[in-house]
Amino acid sequence: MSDVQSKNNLLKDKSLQIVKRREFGVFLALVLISAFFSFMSGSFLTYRNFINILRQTAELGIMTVGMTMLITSQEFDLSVGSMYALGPVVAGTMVLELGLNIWIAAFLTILIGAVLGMLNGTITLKFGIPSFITTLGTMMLFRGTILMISDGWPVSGLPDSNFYGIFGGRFSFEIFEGRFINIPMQAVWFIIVVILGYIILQKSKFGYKIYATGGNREAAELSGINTVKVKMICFIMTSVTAVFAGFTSLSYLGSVSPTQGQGMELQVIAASVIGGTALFGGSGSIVGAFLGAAIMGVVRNGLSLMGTGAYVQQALIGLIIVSAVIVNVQYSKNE
Amino acid sequence: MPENIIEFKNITKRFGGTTALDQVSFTAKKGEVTGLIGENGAGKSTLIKICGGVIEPNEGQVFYEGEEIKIESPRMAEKLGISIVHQELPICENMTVAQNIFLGPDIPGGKIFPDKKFMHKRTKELFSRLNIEIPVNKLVSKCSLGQKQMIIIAKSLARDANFVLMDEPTTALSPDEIDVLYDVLQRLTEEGISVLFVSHRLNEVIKVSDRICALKDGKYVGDISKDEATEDKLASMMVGRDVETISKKASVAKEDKILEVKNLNQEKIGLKDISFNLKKGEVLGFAGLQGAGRSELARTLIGNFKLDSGEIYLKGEKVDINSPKKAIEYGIGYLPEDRGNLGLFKKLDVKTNLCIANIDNLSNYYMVNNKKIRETTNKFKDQLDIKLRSISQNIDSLSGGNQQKVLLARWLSLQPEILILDEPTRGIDVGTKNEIRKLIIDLVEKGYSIIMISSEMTELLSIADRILVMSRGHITGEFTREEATEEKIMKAAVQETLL
Repeated sequence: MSDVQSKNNLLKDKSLQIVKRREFGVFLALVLISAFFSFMSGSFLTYRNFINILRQTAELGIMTVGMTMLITSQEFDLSVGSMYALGPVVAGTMVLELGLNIWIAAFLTILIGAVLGMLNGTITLKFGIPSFITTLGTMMLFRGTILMISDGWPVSGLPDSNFYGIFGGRFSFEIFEGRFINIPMQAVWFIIVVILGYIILQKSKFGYKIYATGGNREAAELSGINTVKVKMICFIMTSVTAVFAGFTSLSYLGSVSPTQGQGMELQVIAASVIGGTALFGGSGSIVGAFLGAAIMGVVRNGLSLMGTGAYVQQALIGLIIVSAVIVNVQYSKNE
Repeated sequence: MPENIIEFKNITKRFGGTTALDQVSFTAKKGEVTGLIGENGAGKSTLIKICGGVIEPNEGQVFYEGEEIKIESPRMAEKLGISIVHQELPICENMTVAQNIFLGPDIPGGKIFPDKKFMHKRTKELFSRLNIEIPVNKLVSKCSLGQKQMIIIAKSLARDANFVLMDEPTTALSPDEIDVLYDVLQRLTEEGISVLFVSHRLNEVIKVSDRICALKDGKYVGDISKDEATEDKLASMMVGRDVETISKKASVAKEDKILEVKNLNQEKIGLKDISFNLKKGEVLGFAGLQGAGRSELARTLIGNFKLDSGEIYLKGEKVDINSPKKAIEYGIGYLPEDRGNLGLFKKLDVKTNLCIANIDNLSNYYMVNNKKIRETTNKFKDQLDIKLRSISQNIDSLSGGNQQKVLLARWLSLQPEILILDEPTRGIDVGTKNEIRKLIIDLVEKGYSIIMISSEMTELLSIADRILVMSRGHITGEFTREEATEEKIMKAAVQETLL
């Protein structure tokens, strides 16, 4: 009897803990928004649409994971939108112009992404320029560079490779005879990146150092943590996730426009903030980032299903971002 | 075993043209608490920085545990077992107690994941060694200042510190927290850990230290044992001359009440049924423990917090002060307790800091009149004897006492009739403290009426004409200067707490 009781109490404690977690506020917002769209459109709450949303959100979501870590370390990156286009444009050009295999080209491009992240980090950390300004500059620098490389034209007509299947195809398995489940690879990679990000930020020792650096840089420094290195790695991870997100887009679409991802940086930051990441650093969670990206995806998807026009959509998304943050802030205040 | 944990021999440190430490020879003994006193600019912080490996001396030798050594970096200091607890605690508010204790390049655990169980267990052990209780899982942002300090001390223990330097550790602590700190220091010395205790508060230094050393203008003055030390002796060591005790002559009893407060209540911040009056040309002291509601009362009077009920009369007329702006219009100025956060604009220069509240009167239409600003600033600079190189100097580069004078001048430039001074001499060195006290006396003689909130008994007893004591949001005692004694005030200050 008492055993059962204590188990019940434990369960109660656990569920209370979940409710008390900061992410619960975001989750609540997501549920409310989803409920609204289910009510407004019959095709919203279907398995197919669920998978669809996951795919549509994947690119934004992958970038949000990197950005959340960076913001938690108290820095910013506005160049991710450009980086998202830079990745596939550079890799695609290498394939077309230099005749490289896409795998090698992608690998080299990831390295380039890392170096450019390091550039953001170096300008910010060595010269003491606010990252907001640094990356505002590199955002334009990178965008201009890829427009030059591609001459403004989309990069397409790439030779076949299993690369595209792995990053933008479908993952199918048979559950029983003749019935297949198809999951877009973008969604799969999204989940993988989220899990990796969760482990790095919230479970690993390095994650501790990110929180410490963003929470009180001086204290972290005095504790012997190399905060420059911590921030640098966060810059690199942000750039690399953006390049990687670009690859999934290239693989899915088969081509890439040098103008893609314009304005995406703000969406990524918005998703991160909706997920409870504090803009001044020191507090952020990958679960929250995932939910934040999901809210962005659900809203876009839901509004489309309702047949809302593109202009109205944009306005409504803005409204919903602010409302979601208000719900989240109110919730964490009460807690 | 060497007797000294650290020994300085003829240490000199120059910064450009100024000599911060001049041929200083100083020792701290093993397993003892060594007190270190000195006015601002006496070289205390330079000495601490040398111990911590932040700077290196130009001349002289440093011996650590009997061996000559050069402390080249903070990391090396840490390896030697030297740990510094700074006044502003470097702590990550967004993390838990245990996480903060083990923050560093090598967090315990495997290659990738931290070992939380170990961290919690070790933290509990450390806390039990110090005889303190803080939940190891608590978020540091929810800890009190005293607890944060304990966390930092425990952190240095976790890193096997054997020499702990504490820089002004009691400045912002409540009396209870200070007692806990004393207890912890006692335990540290029992474990053979040596402590250097740097403080402005002479009575506290005497209480905790086994031996007290003094610095003055970069020179070592001497040391004195706990038994010989008195506050007067220490003060004269610090200042290099006998410190006169400032005392205000009894004011000519004026009966016109300039300010009267009747049955003021403010539930949210816990002010209950407060009634008092302020007579023209008097210094009304407010005594009490931290958290008694004195600053809150002051901020309610100037309209920073709205009152739930109660009446405020200015010169017999009922007024409704609903914002600090209104208070200024009514001629009430408030010098806040927290200079750094509520008073100074740290990135701006002296003249802007001084004139900012009165900027409307120092402008022509919408354009700031720089000539008027310079004139006003220079006027107050002379009047209050503010020491500075240039009125365009950054406020942050002034000493605490001079910053306080600038803030005082800010209010004086508005020509208020009532000044509320909240801990006007906190964190200011002994010499300047007296200057500010003299200024206060000066001001009332010129006809200002002053409410002075202070935690320093001697200050209240020597300057205030009347002393009101607050405890838990109530006024629990009123004494004239003749009646007041430290015991009476203390008794009233803890009255409600005992109920």
